[in-house]
Amino acid sequence: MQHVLDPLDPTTHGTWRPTGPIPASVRALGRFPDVRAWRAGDLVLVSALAPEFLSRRIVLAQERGGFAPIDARWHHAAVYLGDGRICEATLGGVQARRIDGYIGTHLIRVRRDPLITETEGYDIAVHALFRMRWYYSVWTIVRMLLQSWRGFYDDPVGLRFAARHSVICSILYADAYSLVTQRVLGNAAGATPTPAFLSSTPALTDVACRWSAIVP
Amino acid sequence: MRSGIITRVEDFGLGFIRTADNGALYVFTFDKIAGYRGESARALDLRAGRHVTFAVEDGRVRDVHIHSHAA
Repeated sequence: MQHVLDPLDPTTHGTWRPTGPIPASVRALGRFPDVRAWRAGDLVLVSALAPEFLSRRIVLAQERGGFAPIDARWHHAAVYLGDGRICEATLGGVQARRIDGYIGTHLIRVRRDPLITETEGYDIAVHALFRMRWYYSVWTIVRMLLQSWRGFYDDPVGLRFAARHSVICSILYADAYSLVTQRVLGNAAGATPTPAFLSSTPALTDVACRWSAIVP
Repeated sequence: MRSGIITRVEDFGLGFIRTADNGALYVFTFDKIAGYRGESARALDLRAGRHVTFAVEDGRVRDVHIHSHAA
């Protein structure tokens, strides 16, 4: 069962007081993720309630490539840093920012390898941050979209990046995970770690996701 | 020892090996390379397509030996 933070679910557990300015849209929603259960190095998956063009293409490609719709809907991945901040690879490159931009507009899910320690989690976060300002590999996304026609379960070539210092969102997490754990996510042929793969892999388990009410 | 082909190398010290027999994928950090003393991937001529032999212990790569010829 997936633990999903749904903007349409008004249920809250406890309260949260912002330590600084937050977007008006988050204030208007009146809820913020209860991040007390989250740890640095956790995987954050997001799925837009109203996905734009590229996100829709990624969802469709993941479904076409063999993932169940419940996993294919996750079109973006990030690494949780702590204190409501994430490190992510976007079209603008790898950057660290607050999770606020996804609150109210996206389903949010958090996953973690239950075998890793809190210190190893921090190491995953550090390795993700190490790639700050790396380029986003649009070429890799195009290749993965093409690969989806053959299926993500059959990739004899393996993952490729056209340029040095380029990465995509799910690989940012998967590489940091591999550096710290010395394990590859999906030890099988063609297990391309797309967001849908990170959603479905049994190596990771879901972390509690629930809302806290923003204090009035 | 198992044999495989390097499928991807990242300059910051991460490599991936696909085994020749069943196509399983393994990951290693450069410190697992026999005799490694901090060289770059370029200095080691470590790149996709290189043949390697490697040993696995508890599901993780224990050591990697780079062959002298490319695939």
